[in-house]
Amino acid sequence: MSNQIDRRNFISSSAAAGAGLVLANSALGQAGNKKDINIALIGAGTQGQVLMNAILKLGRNSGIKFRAVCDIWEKGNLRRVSRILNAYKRYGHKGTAYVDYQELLEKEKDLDAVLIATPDFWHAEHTIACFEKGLHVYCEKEMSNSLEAAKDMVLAGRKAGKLLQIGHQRRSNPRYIYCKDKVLNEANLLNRITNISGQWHRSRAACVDLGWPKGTDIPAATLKKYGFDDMSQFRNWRWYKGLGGGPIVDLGSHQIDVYSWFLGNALPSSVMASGGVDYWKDHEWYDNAIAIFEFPTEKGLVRASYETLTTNSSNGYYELFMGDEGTLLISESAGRGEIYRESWVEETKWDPWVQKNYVTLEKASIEAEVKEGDDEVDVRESATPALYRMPIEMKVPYHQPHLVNFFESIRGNAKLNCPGEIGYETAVMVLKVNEAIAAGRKIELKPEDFKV
Amino acid sequence: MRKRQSDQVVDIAAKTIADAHHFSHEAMATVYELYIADEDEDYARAGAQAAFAEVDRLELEMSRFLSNSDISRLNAAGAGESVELGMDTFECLRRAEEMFEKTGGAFDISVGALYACWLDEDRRLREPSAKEIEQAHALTGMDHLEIDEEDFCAKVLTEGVQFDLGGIGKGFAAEKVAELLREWSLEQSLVLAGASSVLCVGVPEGMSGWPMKLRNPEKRTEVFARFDLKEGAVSGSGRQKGQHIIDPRSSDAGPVEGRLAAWSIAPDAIAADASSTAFMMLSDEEISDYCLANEGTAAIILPHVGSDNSSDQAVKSYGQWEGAGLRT
Repeated sequence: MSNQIDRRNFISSSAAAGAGLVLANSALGQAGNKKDINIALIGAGTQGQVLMNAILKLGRNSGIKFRAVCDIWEKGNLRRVSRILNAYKRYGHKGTAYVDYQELLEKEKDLDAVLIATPDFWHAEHTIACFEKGLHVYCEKEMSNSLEAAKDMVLAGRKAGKLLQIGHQRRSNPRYIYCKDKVLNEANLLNRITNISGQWHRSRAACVDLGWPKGTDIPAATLKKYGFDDMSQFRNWRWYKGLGGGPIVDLGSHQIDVYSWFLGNALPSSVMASGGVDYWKDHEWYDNAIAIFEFPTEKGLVRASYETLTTNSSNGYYELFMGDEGTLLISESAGRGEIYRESWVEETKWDPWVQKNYVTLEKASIEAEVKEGDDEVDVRESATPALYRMPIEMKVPYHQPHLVNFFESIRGNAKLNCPGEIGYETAVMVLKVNEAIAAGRKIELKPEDFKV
Repeated sequence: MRKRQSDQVVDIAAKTIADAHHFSHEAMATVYELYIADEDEDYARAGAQAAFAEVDRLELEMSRFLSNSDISRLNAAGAGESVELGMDTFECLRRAEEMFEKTGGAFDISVGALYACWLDEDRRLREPSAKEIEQAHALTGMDHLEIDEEDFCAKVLTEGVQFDLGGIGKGFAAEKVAELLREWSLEQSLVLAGASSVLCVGVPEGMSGWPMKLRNPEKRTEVFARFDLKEGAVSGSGRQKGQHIIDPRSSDAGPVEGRLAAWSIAPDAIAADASSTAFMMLSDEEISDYCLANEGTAAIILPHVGSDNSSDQAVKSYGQWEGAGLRT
């Protein structure tokens, strides 16, 4: 598909432009390959803390220095994170605390980049403000709850000539990269991928509304100023229209992003979906959603389904790629990864890849049983397919490689694995699921719908 | 240290207590339970949910079964490699080192190789060769780890040492949960980390303590101790269901015999968790000395019926079981 190639070229050139700017700084003596990068964290909730911990574990010689943190929950997130950062004083970190992000951007003069992990509806304003200050931005997914706002983020980054990395961290996960590059592309073990399915099932217990300790409430005026009706809405913003996008966005986005990425950044031509507020009370967004995408690719159409639940945790979360010769199951979850050879495919076809250690054979296929006295194999019984594994483990905190990719891109040593343009494509795919559910019909998508 | 059949070790009769809401959550290969006395059940539930999220977070940091946890990164480190740790794992390692020293090496988190040597895949005792034992011992001991004094890191001095926080991580998580519950003003609560460790955050108004029972793990009807837990923690360690505890102190020691179970009371759940394991192998005199040297510490030992000590099967207790109303 020609537009795919165009897009790829565009992305690599825009990343190169980002790198070029760093090189220009370097010429001025302000940057270099190991230049210290001063950062701030805006949004210090659970996800912000995950990012912070992944960076702290890079150690004192990483050259990444926290200068400040911002969160409107002064007696909660802000206090906790500020304390942790100050405990890392010897590493060169500092946790100057701000409630107002504009004050942070005004007062912290030596920043190079900002990590944004605020609620989705704040991403665009925070990101654009950082670009206007000439800072690089790592913004959590979903880029925004509005496609217009997401587009503005990309445009602001281009205008500022600064990098925008979107937090689809699987794109930097060595296990995922290995599966895409080695298993799917080079060895082509699945041959033609025809279907994908995937899910994130969460138990009811993991989905109950979040509370907060007594005496830590954000003042009502502050909540109002930042767009929240009350403290409960602040804690559970993901469920509210205008603030978040519900589980399909919180959970599904990561995995639907992988669908597209593993298909060579293919874009779907349509999406249909069903979902609703069927179980939880007082929630605005769909508590379960099932979507079906059609991805036209060079090898043919790939039909992909995705399901997210908030009432049942059966089988957890994974992505399952199905080709006419094999199957790949991959999950970010601890070491979960399986590759199956369809039983009709000769073992000898995969042997060279086992010998090259691209995959390891764990369990040979078990042929359909031929009962004694029977003349023929019962064709209704299918043989157990052979199980292979990928010989690669995730050995660092989940978000760390994606953050390192961002920092190394700032230093001019790497290209972003998920620049804003890619993040936008995923935002389109995911937000269109909610739109399809609301419309109750299949939504057709054109290549230009994914362009900024 | 391996997963214990923890629900056998300490019993809590709190289910009968009015106003104590009960919450449970699977984590760290066991079940965490909370009893919280509070007028507002929804508030107590929200606090419990935050507490369980904290346990899940700690599991990601400290589980040796996850390839990117702090402990797995330590276990994969080469000789002389310094590993950057999260603050929690760092703190837990410091406490583990302290407990190693206090128990004369009976409590040891560097026992992965030793257990792999003595137990087969089904956790059954095997008969390792003298050479295997020697090799496993060469990879055991806290002197293989250098915990940094100032930075949040630790240096592995010998490649192949396998650390396992199984004997202290649950107690550590219980303490973190207690900290969180205090932040939530939910002090009238009790934390059960798989019931091998029980930590009293605070006693509900009108109660003299959280009612506890210690049972003979081989004869569940035999309750030989009842007491009210008013503060601190109680932990149990045992050999029920054919489980084995390996004495890491010397190559000659091997699997622990002679004791069926050991309980420990300590001011915090970390000390209780770690010392209950040590009490399975320390001598009577060593246990007595430990209890004297460490304030607020007490021990109960249940000898193994039919062991060499069979002439002396009575339950033994050390230290002050204040208000325990101990019945043997």
